[in-house]
Amino acid sequence: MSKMKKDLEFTGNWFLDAGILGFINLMEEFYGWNLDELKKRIRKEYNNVYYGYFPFAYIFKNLKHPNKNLFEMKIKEESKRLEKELKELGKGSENEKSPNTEKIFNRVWEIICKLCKDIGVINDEKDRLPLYLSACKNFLFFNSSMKNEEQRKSFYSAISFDTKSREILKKIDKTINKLLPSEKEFPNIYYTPISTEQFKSRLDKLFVYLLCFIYAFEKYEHGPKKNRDIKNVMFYSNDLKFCYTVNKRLKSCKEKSSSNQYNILRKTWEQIIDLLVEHKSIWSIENMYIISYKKLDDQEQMFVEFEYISIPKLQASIILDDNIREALNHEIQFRNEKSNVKKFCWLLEEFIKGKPLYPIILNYVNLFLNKRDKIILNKDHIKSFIYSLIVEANILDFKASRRRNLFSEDFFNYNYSSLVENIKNDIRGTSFVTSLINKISEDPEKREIIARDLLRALYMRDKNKFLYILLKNMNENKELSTNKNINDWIFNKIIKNNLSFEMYCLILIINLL
Amino acid sequence: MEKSKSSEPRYYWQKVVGEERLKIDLEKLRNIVKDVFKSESDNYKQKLVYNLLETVKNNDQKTFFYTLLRAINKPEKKFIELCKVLKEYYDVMPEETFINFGYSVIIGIMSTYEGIKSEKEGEENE
Repeated sequence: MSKMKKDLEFTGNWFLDAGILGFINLMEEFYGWNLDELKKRIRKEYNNVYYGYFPFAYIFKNLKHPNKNLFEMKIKEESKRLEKELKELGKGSENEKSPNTEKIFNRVWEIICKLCKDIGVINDEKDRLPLYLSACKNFLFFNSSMKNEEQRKSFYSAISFDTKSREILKKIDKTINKLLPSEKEFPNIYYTPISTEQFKSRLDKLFVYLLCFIYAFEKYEHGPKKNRDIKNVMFYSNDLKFCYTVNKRLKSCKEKSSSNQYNILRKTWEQIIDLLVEHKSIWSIENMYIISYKKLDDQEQMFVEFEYISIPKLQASIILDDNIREALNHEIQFRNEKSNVKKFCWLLEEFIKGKPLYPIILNYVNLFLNKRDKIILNKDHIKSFIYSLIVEANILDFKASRRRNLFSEDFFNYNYSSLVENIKNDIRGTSFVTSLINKISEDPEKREIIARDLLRALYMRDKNKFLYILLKNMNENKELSTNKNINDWIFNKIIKNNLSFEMYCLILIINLL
Repeated sequence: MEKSKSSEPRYYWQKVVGEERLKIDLEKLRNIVKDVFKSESDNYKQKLVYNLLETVKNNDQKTFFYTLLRAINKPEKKFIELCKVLKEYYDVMPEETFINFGYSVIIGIMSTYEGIKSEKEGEENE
């Protein structure tokens, strides 16, 4: 049993797992240990890692002092010397209850205080350490009223999960993470405060992980300096190794590319899928989550725009197909540049969230026709739009044709393969046929006028008007009218279709331009 | 295509077909229209299509059927077939249904154009 406790594994709860990932990231940042190395060390010198290496890294990560940056090198050197010190102390039994852990911790605390004095962060070794983390401002040793001695004791209690000496460790609430409710605000909610008793047997270093929650996220910035769009993102999956590898790859990808970092999220999807295929774990894509937040507001004491996006199985099965995924992997502008709200959106992200792509594309085409903001419509765009619209139309039809059961045969056994097949066939058929619509007129200006009229009709969701304009213009061109392909297509997809005709209409319009 | 239940309150009289709901098979309708109009002249068909388009756009069921029936008022076998089908489907339809019905007929006619050759023949016929 004790061996199980000591291995580093995900719990299946994203909140705790984010903490575990943050812990791994922190240790890697400070000591350069990758996941395997860390696991090895935990197995061999469990106490050293948690009572020695961890406090050292954590404290220096959260010191708030102007001198800190100047002495980075010195801190790094000291961390190497730490190893020797801990080796000596680490001799003895691995039993948690033995006073060894306190000895290790106290020794490391001495080293930390001495180093802080050396680099001028504090004046005397007995002074309070200026620790600050906006995510848990007043938690235990972060509290500005605590003196050095108190800080040491409280940090030790937190790591050793000693609920007897510290009442606050009996629960998890807003003090340790701004996402949770606070007991004072919500005394009437049944599960506040969240008791930590249940975790004792399973996760005995709970507070270590909770303290590292914020280090699981990676910052991505996008846009000009004035209107910077910042996002802190974490990709989460149930498997520790997979999650760690994905986030690490993303980080290295981000570091390589200098400008327009938000595009990283686009490019890295390819990497993620490649990884999945390597690991032969198709199931993982269904269990991938993107957790992101904009920033942690200090004054309001809360996370701004915290999002938890999961990939539903339907969407996951569809984006497993390379072509579809690549086509959806586009960022497009769908609002006027003068507008204050978000102008760009990433089609794949919206698709994963389950939001309709049709209005986005409709707006884009409208912007293009009004010749605003240098919008272009090239082959890539057309391809991407056709794919998105067809996917959406087919999903609508699929949902309507089945009884409304989420956990159907398709879900469990077939991975929605019939739906994907339909989509692919539809794409093949539609791309060819709709390109024929260009023959409606030789004059590109006339085509544009027709497109405008059609778009107006579509905005008003007026199928009657749309068909009227379309067929009236087609009627002038006998060859086009007789063409069996396009004739059948219009009949099947627009006239007969009551659910998803709008998407097919939009495809026609796009092909006119 | 089924007539939706929501259309029932909009009727003030309804075709009595027992307890069954009226179903319109658009595919069948279009195919029959195709067969029927194959031998007509293109010019004639073009004009007919224009007229029919106007009536459907205005949701003018009266004129639509008037124009259509005038065009198929010939004692030939195929026309009789078409009339039978129309009789089966004729009813005062809600707009949504009528749109689909009308355009199916129109697109059926449009698919039978033969191109430049028949234009000359058509002129003679007219």
